[in-house]
Amino acid sequence: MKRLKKENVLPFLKEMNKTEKVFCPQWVDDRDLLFIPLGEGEYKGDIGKTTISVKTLVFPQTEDIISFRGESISKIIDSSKKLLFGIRPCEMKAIQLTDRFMKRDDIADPHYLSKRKEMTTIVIACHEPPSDTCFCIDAGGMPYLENGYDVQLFDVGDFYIAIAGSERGEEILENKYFEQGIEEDREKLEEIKSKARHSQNNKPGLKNAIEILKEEKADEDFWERLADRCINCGGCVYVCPTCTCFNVYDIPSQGGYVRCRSWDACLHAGFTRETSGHNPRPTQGSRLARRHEHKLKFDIINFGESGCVGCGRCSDTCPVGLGAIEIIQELNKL
Amino acid sequence: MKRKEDIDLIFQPNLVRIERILPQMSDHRLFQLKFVDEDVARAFFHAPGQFVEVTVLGVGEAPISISSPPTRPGIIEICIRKAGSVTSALFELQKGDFIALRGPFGRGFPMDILKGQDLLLVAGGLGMAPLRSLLQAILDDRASYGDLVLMYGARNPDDILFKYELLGLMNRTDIKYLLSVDVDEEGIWRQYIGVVTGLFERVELNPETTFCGLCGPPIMYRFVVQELLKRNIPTERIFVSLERMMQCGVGKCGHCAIGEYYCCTDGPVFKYSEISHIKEAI
Ligand SMILES: Cc1cc2nc3c(=O)[nH]c(=O)nc-3n(C[C@H](O)[C@H](O)[C@H](O)COP(=O)(O)OP(=O)(O)OC[C@H]3O[C@@H](n4cnc5c(N)ncnc54)[C@H](O)[C@@H]3O)c2cc1C
Ligand code: SF4
Ligand code: FES
Repeated sequence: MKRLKKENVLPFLKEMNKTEKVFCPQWVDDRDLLFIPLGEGEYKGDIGKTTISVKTLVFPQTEDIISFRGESISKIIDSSKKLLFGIRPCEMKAIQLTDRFMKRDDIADPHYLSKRKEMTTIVIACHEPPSDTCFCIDAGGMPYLENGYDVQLFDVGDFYIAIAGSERGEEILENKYFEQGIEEDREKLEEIKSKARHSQNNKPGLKNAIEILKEEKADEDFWERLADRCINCGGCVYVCPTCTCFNVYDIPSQGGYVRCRSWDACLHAGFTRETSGHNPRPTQGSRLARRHEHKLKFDIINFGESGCVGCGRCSDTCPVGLGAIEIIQELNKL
Repeated sequence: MKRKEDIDLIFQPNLVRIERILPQMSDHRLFQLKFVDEDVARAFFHAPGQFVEVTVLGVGEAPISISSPPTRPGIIEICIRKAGSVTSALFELQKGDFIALRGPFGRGFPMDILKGQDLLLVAGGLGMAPLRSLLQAILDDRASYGDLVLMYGARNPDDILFKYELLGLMNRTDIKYLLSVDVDEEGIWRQYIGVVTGLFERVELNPETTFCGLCGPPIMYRFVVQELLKRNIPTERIFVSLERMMQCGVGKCGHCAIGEYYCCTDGPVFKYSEISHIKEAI
């Protein structure tokens, strides 16, 4: 167990940035808190909850995947080293779920996994929820992690208590900015955890919503009634840390072509529409149902675990109040 | 020779040469393709019902069923209907031109289960493209299977895929081939006129031994499955090949999801019993 003084965070990140690209939550124009490369915004020490989750760094909004030049065809793989400082536990959980999906059926997505492999993850536990929409506890998680990270930091005021969760994490804690902790830190840590466990008032009732979907109590009318106000913007999907659907398209590039993939959203009518015009998911209700059943029903069938980590971003973003919190609340009324 | 681990047929398209183009009915063509790299060709195995992702260079990619059987390796046949950008671009190409393939993908027909069984194949329209792979695989190893019935419903007498090849089946005694057309405006059709389900009156199906393979437009499944259930065929012996919008073919892009399944990796061939509880499936 080590300590990292808050005043040493920036010097530490600047040093790391010499050998690998460092990303952390920074303010842009004092308006948006974004997880961006060190120096592209202002680091003010608050980690908060970034508007868009760190998924952008393993699964970018747009990326080149295949290059076509004459008769030569090759994969484009980004395996640059990245260090992510200030990941929230729910986002890290989301990455763990995505790892599993990207390796599903023994088909390992090379574009995702190459980035993931070279990524160092420094998680900062939430001693109190960064926003009112957080509901990770209700979603079956915790505002801190038991495993699956390189380093986890716990906020104790002037400094962080630092714990390694991997070999890479041990290596990071060897850095000169990390100081030896004292025996009392262990107690402090338990105190923070216990406080964190009782820090969330937002409890929409995800567990019960899962049961309600399993019992097929949500019918077509239920979804159509809610979807009536969905404006198809896709915002809920883009900010979601576990949504990974994409489109593939080819564009000209430097005398050849490059195949790209970009985020797509199951809320769009064109998502399932075939060239013939036939659409197996023809109504907005069927599409809204898909988005939420995917997380709360099908992920449980396929992986034994819900795909919603309770970060609340969809509820922050949706302009018409159709985020997971609202959907879960509506399901609980059935 | 290339090492096995250097051959990627899953994410990276590999070049194929168009060896021959055979015109079919209006707006449909059969392309015979051969991998340029012989090591890649040797690494390619498929089951009937599986598909490939076809790249037209600089245009894009589309999922297409393999129409040729695994019993005739070397040449891969695909039957294309001119529909949108990629499929139309294919129609601009000539013999000798190059395109690229990834695959084969998905779950095809379970040949090990079908061996020794009586089989009923029902195709509607372009559904004949994947079923032809199954049909030829059976015919190439005919003694391994029981009774064989093929029902094929086409729009009109001009729109029959693999017309001459299928005509040759009429004289065979080891397959019962029934053809229907929806409409016959010119009055030339001597066989059944009407939807494909009408053909069921002309066959006896033994519900104890019959397995069925279906491929056609969504509306066809509903009616054909009804007929099969009326004849007491168990739902786990009905295999349907489903179509969905696909972008990746390897279970990642999410477009082809059907309930808890992904059509591209769990399908496209499903047991009816697996999907009958999913409303959006058929
Ligand atoms: C498993 C499977 C097997 C198929 N087999 C054949 C076949 O043997 N012969 C044939 O002619 N057609 C087949 N299709 C349909 C064929 O994939 C579409 O007609 C084709 O994708 C249209 O692409 P496009 O670029 O010409 O059309 P556009 O509308 O310009 O392209 C849209 C893109 O969306 C996707 N897309 C659109 N419609 C479909 C669809 N129905 N299914 C899957 N992806 C779609 C593709 O990625 C396509 O590139 C099959 C589809 C599936 C899913
Ligand atoms: S954010 Fe809201 S309005 Fe936009 S697609 Fe999602 S549910 Fe619909
Ligand atoms: S086609 Fe991409 S998941 Fe099936």
